[in-house]
Amino acid sequence: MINIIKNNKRLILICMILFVLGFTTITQYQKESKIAMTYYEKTYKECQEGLLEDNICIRYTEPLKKRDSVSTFGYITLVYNNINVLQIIAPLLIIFVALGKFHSYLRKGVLKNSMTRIGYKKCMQKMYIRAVMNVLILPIFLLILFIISCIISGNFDYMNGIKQYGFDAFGMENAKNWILFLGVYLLNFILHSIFWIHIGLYNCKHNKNGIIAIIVSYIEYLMIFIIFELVFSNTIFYGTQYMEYFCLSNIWAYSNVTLEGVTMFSFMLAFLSGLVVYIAYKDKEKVLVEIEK
Amino acid sequence: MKYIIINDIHYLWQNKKKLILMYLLIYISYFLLGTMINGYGESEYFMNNVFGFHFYFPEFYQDILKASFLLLNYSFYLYLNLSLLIKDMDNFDYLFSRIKVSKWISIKLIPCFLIAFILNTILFLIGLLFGTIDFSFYLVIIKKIIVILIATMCLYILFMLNQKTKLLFWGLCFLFLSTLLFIPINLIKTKLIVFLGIWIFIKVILFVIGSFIKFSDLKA
Repeated sequence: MINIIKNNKRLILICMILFVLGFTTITQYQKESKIAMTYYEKTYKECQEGLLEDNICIRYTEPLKKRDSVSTFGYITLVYNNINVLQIIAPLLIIFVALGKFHSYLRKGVLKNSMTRIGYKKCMQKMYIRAVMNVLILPIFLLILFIISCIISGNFDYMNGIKQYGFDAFGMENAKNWILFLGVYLLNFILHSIFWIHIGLYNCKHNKNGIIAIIVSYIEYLMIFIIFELVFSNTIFYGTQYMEYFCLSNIWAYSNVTLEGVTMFSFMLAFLSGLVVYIAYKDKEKVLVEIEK
Repeated sequence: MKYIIINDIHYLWQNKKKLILMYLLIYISYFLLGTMINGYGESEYFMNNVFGFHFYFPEFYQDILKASFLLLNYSFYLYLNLSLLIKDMDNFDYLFSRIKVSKWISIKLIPCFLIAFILNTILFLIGLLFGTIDFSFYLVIIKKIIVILIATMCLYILFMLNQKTKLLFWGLCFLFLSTLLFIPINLIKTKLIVFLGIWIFIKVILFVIGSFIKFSDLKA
């Protein structure tokens, strides 16, 4: 048991952070929605009894239904600061977990020892798969949040959510079919996590220290994010339908984008970054020289 | 002493050249492209966000681009400074037989200052060239350089305590994180003397800790 905890301490730390963020947000949402519901019901009752003026009662013509699951999920992930901050720190968390073992295997001689038994290619594949397995952290966390949202709301009437609450989280077209939406939503997180991990893996080759590799990977991600936003989104494609695709944090909100478009873009990111990692680690001699420096 | 400084600057230019150029390129692209659209050119947005003169963690979620700029502004320098420190760990035995920890740390701060000073001055000149700012802006740049140095010294304190006393290390980590998370820091409104005071205070702490720590502790 202690060994399992020791071997996965980074993963456990990240899970704890995500748990705290998720738990505090859901509690806050429940508290606020209870207050809003009580207020609505009270006003609705007073309107029915004719105690309030007509201009107030226009908005209270029918009893309030609970917000639907997709809207609740969108509200939790996009409105509250706790989860919102993940938009900026999620890459750091994923890189932090994924690079732990990969970097130590690469730098502390495990690669060299393994090469004598199973060969360079197979060894690298094993290390790569182990690192990339961490792409599931965010999708699992979001899936749990979605299940909790389903339990809280208990309905899937997205149109009613927009009509009564005036909150369109992911766009009407995108969220029409919630099963398809959820699948694409989680797939995009997997693809983006692969992209983040690829940045980290690339930097492991050039940095002796694990912490330095993580920090430089995150700095590079921030640089890519800013360049995409400034150069592509706000200049080259400004005013066109493609401008929102280049905003890397749009996988959280899906504002003015289609599901297919975002998926294609995420796939391209994961593929191109994968290509860079493949080229970086293709030559066994170069990698060995680099890690021995 | 001068060889350590020259060696550090040479190391940064040899190994971090691409990253430094990329960092400058981001700001040039901001001045060239970002200032024309979306109100990114407004002086308040520019001062607070692009140069990172005002940071308060609970406001991060409001604008992801702003948060990215802020994080980049400080993490970039901390990364360079930390890599300078870790670089010397590889040549431990040769270096530390001749020099004390406190002196070594003090010398390390000079290239840190130089790199922050040179890069920020370049950014200031680029801003001046594109007509977004005036000369009075440089005072805030000086405050920013001092803040970077303070953050670097805090990082160095943590680095030294990491191997020696874990309890103090985690306590200080908690203190620094909570300062960053919950206290808004505004470089424009806060006076220069305040930052200088904090700088001197942390420098003294760094010197005291440096005097009590041996190189064998760091190596462990």
